[in-house]
Amino acid sequence: MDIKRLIMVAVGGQGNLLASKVLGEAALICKVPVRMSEIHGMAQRGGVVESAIVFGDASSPIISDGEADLLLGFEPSETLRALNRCNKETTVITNLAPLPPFTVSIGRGVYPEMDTIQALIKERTGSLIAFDAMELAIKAGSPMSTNIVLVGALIQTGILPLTRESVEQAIKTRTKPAFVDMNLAAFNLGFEAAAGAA
Amino acid sequence: MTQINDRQLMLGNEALARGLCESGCQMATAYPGTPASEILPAVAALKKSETLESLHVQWAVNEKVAFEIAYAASIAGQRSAVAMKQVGLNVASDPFMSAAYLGVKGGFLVISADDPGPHSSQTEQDSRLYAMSAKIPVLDPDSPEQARDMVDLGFRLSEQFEIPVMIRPTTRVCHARQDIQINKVIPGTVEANFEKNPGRWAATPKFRFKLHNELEAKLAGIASFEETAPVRLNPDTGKPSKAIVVAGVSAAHARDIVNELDVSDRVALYQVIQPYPLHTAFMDEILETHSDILVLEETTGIIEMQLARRDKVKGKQSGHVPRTGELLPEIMEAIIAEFCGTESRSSIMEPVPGRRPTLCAGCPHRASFFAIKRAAPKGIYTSDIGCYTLGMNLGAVDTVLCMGAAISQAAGFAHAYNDEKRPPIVATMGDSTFFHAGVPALIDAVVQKAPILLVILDNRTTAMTGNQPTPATGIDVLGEEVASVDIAKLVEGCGITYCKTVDPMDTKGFITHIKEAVAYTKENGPGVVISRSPCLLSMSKAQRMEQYQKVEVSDDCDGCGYCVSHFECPALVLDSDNERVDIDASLCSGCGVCVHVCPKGSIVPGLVN
Repeated sequence: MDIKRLIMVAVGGQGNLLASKVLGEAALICKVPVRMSEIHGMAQRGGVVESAIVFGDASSPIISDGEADLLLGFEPSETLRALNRCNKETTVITNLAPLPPFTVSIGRGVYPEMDTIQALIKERTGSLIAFDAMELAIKAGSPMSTNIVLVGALIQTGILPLTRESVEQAIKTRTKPAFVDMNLAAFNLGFEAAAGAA
Repeated sequence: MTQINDRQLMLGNEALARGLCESGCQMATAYPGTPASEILPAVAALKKSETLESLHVQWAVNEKVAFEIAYAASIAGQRSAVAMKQVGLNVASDPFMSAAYLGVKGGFLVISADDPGPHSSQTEQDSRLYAMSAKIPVLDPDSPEQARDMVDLGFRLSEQFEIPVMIRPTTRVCHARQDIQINKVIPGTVEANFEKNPGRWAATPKFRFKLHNELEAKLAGIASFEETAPVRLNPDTGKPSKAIVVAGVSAAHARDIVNELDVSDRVALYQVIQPYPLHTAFMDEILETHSDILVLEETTGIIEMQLARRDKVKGKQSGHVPRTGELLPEIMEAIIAEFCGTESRSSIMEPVPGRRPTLCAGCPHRASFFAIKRAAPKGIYTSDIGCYTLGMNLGAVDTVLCMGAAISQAAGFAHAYNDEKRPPIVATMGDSTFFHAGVPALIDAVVQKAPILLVILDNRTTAMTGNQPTPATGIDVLGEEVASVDIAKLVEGCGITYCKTVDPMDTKGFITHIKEAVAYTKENGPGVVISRSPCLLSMSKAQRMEQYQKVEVSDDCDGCGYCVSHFECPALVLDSDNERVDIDASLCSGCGVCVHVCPKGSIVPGLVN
């Protein structure tokens, strides 16, 4: 089985860790060996939360610069910041709804233009799927489901050795019972958005 | 933890907990600290789900106390373990060093989680160096699964040689997830039976010398213990002149890198399971077989140090491997490629500056810091380890050394300055940290009449590490009711006569109290203000709604930016043209403190909807 390496970047509170757990569970269902790495602690206080997930027969749970097959960005400037993990073949999926860093809100930094972000990503990677995942999450029922919208888009690319059914099954068992229907709707909206964008 | 058939996806810390419960462990203790915090809650969860009645699980007030409690269970014959982060081992180092001499009865594991990077720590210290200093064997897992397996191995090693055994995972093991084949949980069945032997358990110096000699004999045996011997990862390659020796998570990276660079046929790859004591036969063999040996390990060169042949060994001492920071795969790849005489495919890019962490919107610490700066604007602000370290963003934290130092450093400054030149000195310390290491320092300040004010930031929890209970909470790791210690009474018991408990969310009142307290301490010696307001993360939604106060920015706001730079609440956002500030309603907790922050009165209580 081919090894596939996925990097997910988000700002603390965007639900990156839950998305990792759903994907890890789906890998178990598909009987795909999986190793994941995440950083806790200071990151949860408004910093960047990065998860690395390695599917297939590898030993190391972390992904070096240039080694990611997939980059999933929950926030556009964070996607840009993680570009060093990508290579010319990497597929990038990014949410386009920004969460300006604190340095911007106190006037000590400038948030890059959305067009600039997209152009830079396209220039340095294989392909880009970009859309407003927050808007779709609101349509599904809550902005809190942005993470699952993005997981939907990720699965649509077909790059990971995971079936759509396995991820839906994982959403049913890993997310809170009250939010399962909303999350399944969010997953579907993300899946369709990626199909439309491709 | 998720279960599909017999495989579970587990965090490294959960895997360690699983290992303890699969090995009949009867006591587990800890003090929370990243990256080790999740071990004990996972043991507690298994105690409940598997009804492990013979297993005692508890948070302790600090790592030294946690160590001593678990160690006693071991000398009463039961398997036991204590978990902490690497700097926690500094706190527990006194019993750690001594327990090596006295030894154990039931298997005893010290799990000390290191944090190369560092991601969430004060230092990058290597716990394995402590093990070497104490003369205790240490096991170095490369993955969650190996960490789980090392628990049973460690217990057997510990029992065979009657010695404490350290397991040293790093952040990349603790916070990695992996699918693991689970084994059966085995409840411990050993009845406590302490056999008195004062010559050992209460050894005086003369006996200690004898025990030290016995310890050396044990180490010689451990250095040939078959099950912890280094493993050759590519036995088919034969005996090339070059060898790479790896341990811990560096071993996981190295396996992938050697495959990807396709150099497995020209270099022998060895994984060390037990970095100290390094197996004697292994040392002899590789120094005999190979002429060029590269050692990759985190963070200090422990294995390298024991392979004492400078002419053959490359590593941190020779300058081939960085002595600081994590050995990330891209760094290792470049080193391995050069060592093997091949091209590296990795390109190391300059890191892009990251987001800086900040206190949550509505955090009571922010309110306390704002008020302290207002009340004592020219003060020296000593602080401590916890979420409130982030008060440095607000200019309200000048020093952070280690747990408990806020009080002693404040006292030191007070004694260093003379009476005329001494600025107000305000120490801030969280409730959990005060219990952990603040009490002795406060007693000292009382005895010396140090003119300092201690503000105890009492949010009723250990927030930074994930809201574990403190001794004041009255709830234990299992969620059950336990006794609670009253902070104000404890402060008074230390000899403090000026102690007031105040709500920091009442900004004006709080500033007045701090001013009064600073004036008092100047004349009379130490005083304490307990700033009490619960952490938002441990409040229920109903509790948060109850205190919610809508705030609005009036049209008078001129975008001066005072609130964003002096209060730094993530819910206050200055627009891109610096014209006005807006409230991000999705982040605002409705604490209402910013109403008192705006110098122009442009942030106002909103109409109730």
